[in-house]
Amino acid sequence: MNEKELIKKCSQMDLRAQRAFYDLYYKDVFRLARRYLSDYHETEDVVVTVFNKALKNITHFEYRGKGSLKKWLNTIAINESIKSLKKIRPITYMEEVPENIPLQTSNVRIDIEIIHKILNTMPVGYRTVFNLYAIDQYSHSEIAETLNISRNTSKSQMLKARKYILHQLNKKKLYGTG
Amino acid sequence: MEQDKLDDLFRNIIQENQEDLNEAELNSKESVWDRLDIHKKGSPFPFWKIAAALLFLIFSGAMIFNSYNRQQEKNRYIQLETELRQTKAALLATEAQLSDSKEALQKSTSSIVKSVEVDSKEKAPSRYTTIERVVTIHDTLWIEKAQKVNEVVKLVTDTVFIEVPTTAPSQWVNETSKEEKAIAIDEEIKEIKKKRTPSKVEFVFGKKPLPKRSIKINSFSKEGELARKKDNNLITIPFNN
Repeated sequence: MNEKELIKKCSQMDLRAQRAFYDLYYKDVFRLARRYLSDYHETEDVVVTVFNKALKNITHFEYRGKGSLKKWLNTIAINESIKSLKKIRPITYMEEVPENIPLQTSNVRIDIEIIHKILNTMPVGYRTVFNLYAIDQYSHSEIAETLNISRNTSKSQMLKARKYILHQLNKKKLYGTG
Repeated sequence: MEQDKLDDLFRNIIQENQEDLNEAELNSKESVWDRLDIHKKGSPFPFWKIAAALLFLIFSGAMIFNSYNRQQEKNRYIQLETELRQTKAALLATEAQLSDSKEALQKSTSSIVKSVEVDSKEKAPSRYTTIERVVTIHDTLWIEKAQKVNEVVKLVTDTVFIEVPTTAPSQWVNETSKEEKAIAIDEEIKEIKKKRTPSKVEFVFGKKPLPKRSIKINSFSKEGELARKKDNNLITIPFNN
């Protein structure tokens, strides 16, 4: 079943198609939400909301080629994750940054678990901007609009997020000036 | 390493991470699926909610109505009190006016009385004095019809005695049977009637006014009964029977 058929059948409230849609995108949505939210239960709640919204509004979705459905779903997931973050606690954008961090390296040994650990310990403001900019490839203007902050704040938060990551990598001896 | 390279490194690791769902993610997958709205059935018609809403509306309406009525009553009392005060004030004003008028009247009356007294003292005593006498005037005559009772005297005589003297037969004394006696008497009477029919019977009626409301006719007294008098052998026959 291709994406078009899947969308059509989901629009007709076909339970099997809805389950197929869920199976197909659950992992991406869950992991995306998990990147933004540190709490596991919050992530589950967001995933529920994302699929409810997607299945409810799939009739209004305009198919624009392969990957458009995933992109649409990811957008919903990002928006819902940020909404959940804001709902639970206001996002604070920290100014203090660890100093004297080398910004060059040649021997990097990083895996997904380390990335998840670093992201989970990162302040919410840094993490959100880093996720939006570095992973989900939003522009600073889009981030500013999404988070209701200025472009400069977005840029500075991104810079600080990078410094934080490097600091954490350095602490774990995964990163050095070689 | 440049900053953009760090971003690319992170993005690539994340995007390339296509490993299968771990245990926690798998558990979450089913629980999340069960929580989706698509499994929710249409909720039954909320009768109790409607009933509760209706009750609430009724109670609210009653409360509002009660409160409105209380306010109206309070307003009415206030209005009545105000009217009462106004009336009282008006009455007091009238009373004050009346007392003023009374005072003025008393002053004028006393001055008049004084002037009259002065006049009467100045005048000479008169020959005539006025006395009061009672004059009775009859000016009405009634004629009315009254019932008069006329006295009527009636004489009523209702009993005639015929006494026929006879001699009782000797055997009557010795006879024992009453029936035989009666038969014998009957036969004797028949014979007497045949032989001794009186040539003349006189009825003598005495005239005597009867006392009023005391007339008693004892037509069925012992004297009127058929009796036999053995001693003088007389028979008395009632005439009015």
